[in-house]
Amino acid sequence: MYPKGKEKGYWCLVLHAHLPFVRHPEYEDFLEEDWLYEAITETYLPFVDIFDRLLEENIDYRVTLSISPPLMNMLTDELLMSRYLKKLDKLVELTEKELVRTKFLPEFQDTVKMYHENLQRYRSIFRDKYGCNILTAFKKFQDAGKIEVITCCATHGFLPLATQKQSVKAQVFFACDTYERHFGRRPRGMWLSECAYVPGVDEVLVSEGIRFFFLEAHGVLYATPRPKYGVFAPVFTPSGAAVFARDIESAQQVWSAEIGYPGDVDYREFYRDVGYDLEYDYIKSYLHNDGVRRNVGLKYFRVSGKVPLSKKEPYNPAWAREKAASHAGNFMFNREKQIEHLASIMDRKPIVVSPYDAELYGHWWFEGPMFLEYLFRKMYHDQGNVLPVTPIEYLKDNPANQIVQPAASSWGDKGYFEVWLNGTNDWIYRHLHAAQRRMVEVAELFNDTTEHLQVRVLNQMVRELLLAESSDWPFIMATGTMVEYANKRITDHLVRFNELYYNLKNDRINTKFLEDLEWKDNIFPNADYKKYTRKKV
Amino acid sequence: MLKDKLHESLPSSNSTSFCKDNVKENRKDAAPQSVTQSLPSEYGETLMVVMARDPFWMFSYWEIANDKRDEFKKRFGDNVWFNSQLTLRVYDITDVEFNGSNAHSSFDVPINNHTDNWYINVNQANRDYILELGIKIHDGTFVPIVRSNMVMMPRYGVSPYTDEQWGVLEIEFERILKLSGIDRIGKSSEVARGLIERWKYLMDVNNKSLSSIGISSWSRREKLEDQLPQGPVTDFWLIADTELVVHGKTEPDAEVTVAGINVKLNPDGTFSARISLTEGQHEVPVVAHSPHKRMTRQVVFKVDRKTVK
Repeated sequence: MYPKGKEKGYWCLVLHAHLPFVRHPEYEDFLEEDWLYEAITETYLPFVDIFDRLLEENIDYRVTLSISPPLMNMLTDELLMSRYLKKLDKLVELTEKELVRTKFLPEFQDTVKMYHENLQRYRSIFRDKYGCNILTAFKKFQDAGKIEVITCCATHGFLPLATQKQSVKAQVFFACDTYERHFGRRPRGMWLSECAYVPGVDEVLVSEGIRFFFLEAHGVLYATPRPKYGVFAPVFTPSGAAVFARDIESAQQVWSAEIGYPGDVDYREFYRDVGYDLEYDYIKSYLHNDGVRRNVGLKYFRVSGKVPLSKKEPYNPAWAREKAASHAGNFMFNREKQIEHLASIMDRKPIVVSPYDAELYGHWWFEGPMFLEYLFRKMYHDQGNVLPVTPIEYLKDNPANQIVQPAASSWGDKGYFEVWLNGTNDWIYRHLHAAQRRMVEVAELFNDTTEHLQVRVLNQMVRELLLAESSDWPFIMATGTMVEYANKRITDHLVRFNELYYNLKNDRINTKFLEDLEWKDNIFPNADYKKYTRKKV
Repeated sequence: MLKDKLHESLPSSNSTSFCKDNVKENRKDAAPQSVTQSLPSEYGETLMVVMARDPFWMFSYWEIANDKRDEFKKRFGDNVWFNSQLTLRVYDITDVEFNGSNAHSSFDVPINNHTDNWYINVNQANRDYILELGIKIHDGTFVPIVRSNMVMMPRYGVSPYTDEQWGVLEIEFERILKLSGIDRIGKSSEVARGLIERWKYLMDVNNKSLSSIGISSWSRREKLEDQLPQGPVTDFWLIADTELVVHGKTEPDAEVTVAGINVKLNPDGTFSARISLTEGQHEVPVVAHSPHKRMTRQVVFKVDRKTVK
């Protein structure tokens, strides 16, 4: 029970959910679509599950949830969702077989039962309760006042490295537009992709009605003039948007590979998967068409300590649950202490902002959603010093804040833009910028066209450009894993863009080519090239 | 005229659609993949772009179009692109409207004539810059070719400015900065690495093994071939064996033996045992006794193992 007004400070949990737009209708079975399917099963549905349970039990909670527009598009895409349901059916079927196989393997029985029950429950939540549209669940929690859904740049574009203002505006515009289609109102906040900011971005956000966004700690600490409360109070930009900065202490408790919770010995080991462990003939029909062994999502071992995969010990769901509860207690204790201390040296109530990648919870840290559920239960029942809030609620109670110019920054390695601009990926910007210039050029040139086919080409150019702008491609190139896929994606979208550009300018529109692209790259049904004109956006 | 030019730069149409046979059947009429699969090496424009990488490094790329190259040849001779030193001039134009000659300072970076991009280091933080790409002709004169956009480098360090309304004592501000994690900024933080790790985890899901570089659906055919043994196979072999698994259920407080060996029961009365199975005929009795051996039940399996090679 939160005695409102008696709290010493606030805690704002921010979860950012994003995956790049991966949708390949031209293939029956496509590996990279698994990123989405796994995130649904391991992160998004567990969130829906706990948010619903807390809501039903009248346990107050607050989460600011950023859902990126590509994710919104994928989560409401008929093809992807029907493929997902098939995947989920197969996985449930596998757990049924596993129940039989492990009937006399007591060390795995509880784990298999847990998977079987969870997956069946998730399937019924997904299929029966929310009609295969998870966004309607999040809308429900938002309408109930428990979560604040915000969004992110249209395709997770990295705004500081775009040279055309129109492109920055379009990234923001199509994000807000997508949000509005699914949530029935304009978004109030935005998660800047990778928290990447340069002065000026805030003006674009404000012009679309965005009232708050988030930055890495030094985005605010290095602001001009100096921010009186450091990261423990929001600041206003000169354009009037509120900026909340990330707290590093609470981040490290969850993120850190060394001291973070997810590495606990009792938690589930990610890498030991039945896709590798079980007999080939038995598991084969649950693998992809090529029959190569990969993770299928059932993992029966625990972290166990720093031992080789073969030495991992069986997972014990009860131990893991207990650990999640005790970590939740620890996290709450630390926030209480932190806020008490801050309150003693500040002349206003501090706010601690803890943003995380949503997929960290569940997908990477299997027990993460359970941890959050325990955390909200404990915070509600066991203390009154820390009040969970959304940024809007905070601003309502604390409308006067310092006006500063935040500093260019990101939450990537080293704090600036190097992850997205280095020897592995700098080659893309020449091409991206050329496409951005060309988009503005043809938007101007064909501003008054009434020819339907030309409009379709122009709007498809918008989709291809936006897809090419995704920060995921340079990020993947920088990580050195799956580079081939990222190279191919960005090249494909830019090549398609250029082809459409020449089609249009030479007045030789290839209808079949256009139709094919409209079918494949169907993101943003409302794409509108006029947003790229110089006059008005 | 313009149209002719566009025709020249039109992508060629010798398409190579990837993995054609994998394309779904229900779109027979679709996909005229008349698209070249690569990006143009140049766009026919003379331009220079500069971007900040961090407070002390910027990245610039440029393109010098043919008409510009020809113009320079006319002005400085046919060998101008071989004889003169390509040079980047970096102007500090903080707080000024740059007109070409009013920069606070500038410095030159000589670069090789074959590149079209460069990373540039600056020593002073919190400044704004404009670059020019040019050549240095024989007498050392810098002749600009193209000028870049303006770049504002990311602010570095805590601002010296305090505003009156939000004034704070230095000592208190330092305490707040420390609690805000000022000491951890700019260090390659675990948090940021965590982000990268998260992606790697995601990617690994699709890898055939944990150490390999990712394979995607687009490339799986080649990669599968990689898995085949390399070179001639000389010593081909096979080993196989079999065992017997016996399982069942009885009263939880019973005592069970399988082939005469005591078996531990699970709390719900289930049990299982693995028995090695040698060549020939076997009889495997499964015997359950109730407590104090009041009652006995028995099941016998008769198994005949015959291995054919």
